[in-house]
Amino acid sequence: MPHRRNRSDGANESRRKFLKASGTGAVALSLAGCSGGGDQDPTTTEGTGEETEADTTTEEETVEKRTEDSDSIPRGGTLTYGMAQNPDTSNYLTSGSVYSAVALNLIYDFGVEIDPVTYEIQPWVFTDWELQNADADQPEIAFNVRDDLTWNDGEDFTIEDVIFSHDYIIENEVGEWSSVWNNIESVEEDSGDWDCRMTLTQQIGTWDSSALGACPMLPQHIWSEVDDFQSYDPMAERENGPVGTGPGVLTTFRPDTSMQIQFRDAEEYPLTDLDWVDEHDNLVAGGPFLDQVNFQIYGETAALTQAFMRGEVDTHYGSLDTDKIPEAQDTEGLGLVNGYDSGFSYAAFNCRREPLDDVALRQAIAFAWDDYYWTQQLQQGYVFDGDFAQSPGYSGVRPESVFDGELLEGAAAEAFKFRGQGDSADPDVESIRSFLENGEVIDGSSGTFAGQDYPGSLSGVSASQSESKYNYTFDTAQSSNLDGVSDVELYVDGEPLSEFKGGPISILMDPPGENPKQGQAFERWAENLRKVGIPIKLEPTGFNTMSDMVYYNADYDMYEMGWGGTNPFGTSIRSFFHSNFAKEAFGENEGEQFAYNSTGYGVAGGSSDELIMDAYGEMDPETRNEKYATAIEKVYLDMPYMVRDYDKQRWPMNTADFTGAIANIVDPAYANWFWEATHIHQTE
Amino acid sequence: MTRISARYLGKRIVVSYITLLVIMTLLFALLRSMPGTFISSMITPEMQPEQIQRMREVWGLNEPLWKQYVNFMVNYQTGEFGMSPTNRVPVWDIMIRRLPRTLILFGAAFIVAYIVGPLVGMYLGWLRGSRKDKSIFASSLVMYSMPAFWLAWLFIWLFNYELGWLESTYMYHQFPQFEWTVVSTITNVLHHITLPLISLAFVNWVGVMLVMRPSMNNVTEEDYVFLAQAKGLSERTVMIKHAARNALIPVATQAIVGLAFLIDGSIIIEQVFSWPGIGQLIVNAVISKDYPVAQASFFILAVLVVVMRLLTDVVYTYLDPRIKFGEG
Repeated sequence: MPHRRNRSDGANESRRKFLKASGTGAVALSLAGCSGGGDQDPTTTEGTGEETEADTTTEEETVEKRTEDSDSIPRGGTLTYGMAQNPDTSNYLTSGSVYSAVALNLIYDFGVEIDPVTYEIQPWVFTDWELQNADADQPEIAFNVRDDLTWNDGEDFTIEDVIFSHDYIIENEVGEWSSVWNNIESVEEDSGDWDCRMTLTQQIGTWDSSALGACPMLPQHIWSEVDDFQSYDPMAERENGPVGTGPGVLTTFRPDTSMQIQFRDAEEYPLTDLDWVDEHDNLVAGGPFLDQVNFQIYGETAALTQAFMRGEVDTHYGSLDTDKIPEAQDTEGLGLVNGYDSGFSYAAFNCRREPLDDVALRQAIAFAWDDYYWTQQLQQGYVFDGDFAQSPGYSGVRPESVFDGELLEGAAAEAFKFRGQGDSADPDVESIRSFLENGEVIDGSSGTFAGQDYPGSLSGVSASQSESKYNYTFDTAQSSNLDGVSDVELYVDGEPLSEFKGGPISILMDPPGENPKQGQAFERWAENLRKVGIPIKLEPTGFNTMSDMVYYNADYDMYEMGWGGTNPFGTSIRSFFHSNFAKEAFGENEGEQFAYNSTGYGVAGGSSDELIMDAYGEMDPETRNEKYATAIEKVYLDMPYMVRDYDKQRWPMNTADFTGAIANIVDPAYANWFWEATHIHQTE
Repeated sequence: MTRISARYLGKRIVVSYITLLVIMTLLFALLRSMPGTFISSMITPEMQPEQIQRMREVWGLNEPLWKQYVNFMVNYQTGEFGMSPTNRVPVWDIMIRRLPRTLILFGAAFIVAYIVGPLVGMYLGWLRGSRKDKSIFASSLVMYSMPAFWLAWLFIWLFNYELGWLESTYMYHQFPQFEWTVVSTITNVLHHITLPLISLAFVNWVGVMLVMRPSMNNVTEEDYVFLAQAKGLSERTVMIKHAARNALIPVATQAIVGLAFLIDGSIIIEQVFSWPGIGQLIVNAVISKDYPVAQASFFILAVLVVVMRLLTDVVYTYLDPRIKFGEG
């Protein structure tokens, strides 16, 4: 859903800092459906003979067709949903935590909804709409509003509520809902055939999701009495707290320990009975089927995982810990709902830092990352090998999907694969050195680079550079970092890298104790780079410290991050890679404001600003997808991020007592949790 | 006759107060030296500079630093900890909710540790040098060397996961709502508190025993113990009434400081058992950069430690008649 936001959750700040959104064709991806009871066969990894635990198929497979009749689905029951962090507040306007949102998203509705399978924009509170004056500086959208909704306190929902909701958020410039007042100038009652008319602030390509679907519906009879939305506490004002049109009622909100959502009677909530839901191949109308969801909060992920394994909770936020997946699969009554992550893990380069401002060096460093070791051996096949900065779950804007390729396949998406010597884990040192010495760059044109053929870019886009920025040579090693590994060192414009500008390159990473497998992978990467002659230091750093160094001060060379979120329509690359989101754009707030563009790409080391903004303002969806895919491919070639992997989500579920979850969609535990909550029902 | 002079007491109070002021100053400085501010987590990428400035104004960050410092010092001394940027409620409300839970858990652990520890210490000190003393002492040291969190996981695995006897999370059942009678509430809390309590007490009683044991051994050499034995009193009476009572003095004083440190150790145990107290709050606040909450939590722990220190000095004079403070 475009509007149900992903925000910081503290414990995994990066994961929930970014908005998610869409892209069509997520269903084209594969993975088996809901699995459990040990019915999955481990696959054999080609070439090694090693077995991985994951169901690693990447064959195309659609979300399974639903054949249930909603009348035959049993109603009632309580699902217990575990979380490893506390919610922050029950005030939807100020909440920034995903752990509040899992409950609050069931209370509030928006103008339009995104189909969780196809990512098409569908009617919700608004029945139909029309974009008018599309070429004007401030286009308008005329729309009609449903007249059969009620608030969960029994009051009728009206057009005045729609207008009030937008006015309230725009006038108060509610920080957490900045997309409303950034994108929408006003909403007024229409004088013609439509109920309402919305005026945009500018041309926005994703106007349907970013404007029509941006604003939560707020009851005028409640919020008109609220003078200070910042300190408003809905639970203190009334017994069942927040008032919304959604199916849920927040009956308990104990931020230290638990929350409870009780669902309204089916006849009180008509939205899941809409025609498009009813006719959908993969959805079932008439939900929610449960009586309630109890949310239980645990102090840490390990306690949460244990709570699931011993049946204390029926499901929990996020994917099951990889190490526990085999045990869950072998346990009677426990299952896993397969899905896609909405983001990716990556290593980032500080493009301001010389010589990392050179695309050529960034690409060469990527050649040494042993992706097979990471994805197959350490991650046991539970991740896809990374390439573009866009989740394969939101494939509609991925270059290989848009430009007639096969998802996650094709040499154009493997330009920076590990350059090993044959099938061995040893890097092809000579070819990487030659790449640098020859001043080469994989710039989008076809050729053989560091020993591997590249067919040319899918979109025809070129990298920001066609040759290296510096003169690279290899000469006698000066750095002790290379002792016993390499006799030669990379020289940049005649100076050893260890003495050039900031000295050896360092990588900020999680302390290995917190993430041992990642520690192993980065140790191997550093070792491979040393073999090439590139001195590298690994600097284990706590998350908060790293976050400060990276997002506020840009005081780093490279860092790794477990998650960067993308959205279905590709707009997330604007936050990640446009220069307006780098710290340099913040003026006097530099150092205080969280810089989503942490690498400074666009400010230094290449830029995709023009392509990104061209896509951002494109009003035609198909053209917009092509433009975003082009921008994404340019970012891939310029490599401010080296995308490591995309998680194959395994959402845990008590399959003995519950069924009906929608498999093979993106982030079932959060981004599409509304849909899961309205589909899950008791096992007969 | 008072054993502690008013002048000495006043001096100790002033020193304690100054200690707290220094701690507050350090807390203020540490918070301000961090990159960004506590409103950083509330700033979204689309926000305009003027909106960020307005937010700074609302949260008092546009004031000169010295004024922020003065406000901070005044507010903290009046119990005004400000608002939590995460929860948007007064920090004090959160503290009031959390602190009693921490005190219940660690109060209970304290009582258990300071009953078991002195008893075992008394026994071993009385039998010092015997095979029983050596074997129990050695095994106690092994226990003392175990990290509390590791022991906690072991207990969870055994008593919750394998045997299913005891709960390993929370203070009481969250769902379904049970009938809130006195008996059911106590039973429910006992069911939940037992594992974190024994995890804490299991390690901490040894520390107490290590103080009691040599203390006991020392008093067994005292004349009044020989006199009691010479009077023909039973060994049990001599051990408990004459030796142990005097040996308890260092244990009692150590207990006051021990309680403060027991609370300080709440962070790990509360995390492991999802116990919704101050320790868990500190971890969450630091992770989510809710600096006002983290700052207030540290401050409250600091106050507890400083006050306990002060009490130690006062109580010590009453426990040991030989001690007199502040006199010539």
